[in-house]
Amino acid sequence: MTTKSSPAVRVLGWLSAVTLALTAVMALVVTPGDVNMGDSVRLLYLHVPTAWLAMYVSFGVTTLASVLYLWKRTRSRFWDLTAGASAEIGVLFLGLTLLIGSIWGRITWGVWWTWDARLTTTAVLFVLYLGYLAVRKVPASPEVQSRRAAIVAIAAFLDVPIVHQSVEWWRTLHQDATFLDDRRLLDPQIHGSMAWTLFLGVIAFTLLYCWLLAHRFRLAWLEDRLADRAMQVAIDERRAEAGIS
Amino acid sequence: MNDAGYIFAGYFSTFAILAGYAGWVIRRKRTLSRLLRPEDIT
Repeated sequence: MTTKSSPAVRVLGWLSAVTLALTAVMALVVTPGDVNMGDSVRLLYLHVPTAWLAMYVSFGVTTLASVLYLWKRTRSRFWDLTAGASAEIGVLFLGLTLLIGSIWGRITWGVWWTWDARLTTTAVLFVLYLGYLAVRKVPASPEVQSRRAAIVAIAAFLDVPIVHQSVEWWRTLHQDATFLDDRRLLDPQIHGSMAWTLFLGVIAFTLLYCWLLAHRFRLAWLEDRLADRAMQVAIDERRAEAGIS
Repeated sequence: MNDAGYIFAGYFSTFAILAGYAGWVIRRKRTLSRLLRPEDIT
């Protein structure tokens, strides 16, 4: 493995930048305001893709990589580093989901925050994955650290279906799913340029996630190599002190 | 556009945070690769 980006990763970076810029132009200039929400609907072209990326893609990849790490036949440092890198990006995207949702809530509901079921379960998910990132930093041998983190990641993911179903299980202020719902998958409640902009936003943020994951994974791998080297230097120093060649 | 301040603040903060994070990852990656010897990273 090298420290330089491959041409594919560079292309991914450019593609995500272009599609993100297009999403912003479509969302702010081309699409009309919503008949009920007015112009605040423009924030949902960021809110929905970031939520999709955080909950289903980032945390899904973290959970899958954690399962593959725990399974003896596929256990490898690669899966542990992938899980950590994806979770960090997921926390970033979920933080943005909460931030944009809060601004949207201020316009639409008149408050920055309310203890609504969807908002509360999402905030719990955010704290759970912050906890996961903290667990990864707790000192222990690399194997113990990775195994502990993998178990926490799988446990934290249990909140994702609760967040998804929260608008069905409880009476909430938050609107129902627009796409990811068994009734609305074939008959979404959004059409025309608004639907295309939302779709473009999902593609743009997915490309950005892939680009960020490639770089964050490589950074995690370098941190790992540096820790190994520091350990080797420390062992060599102790050996030299003890006069062992 | 109604509520333009809130909407632009949402877009600006989103792109600024994402650019900041991407910049931090790339800078740290470059710093670490300078600290490691070539044989450590191949």
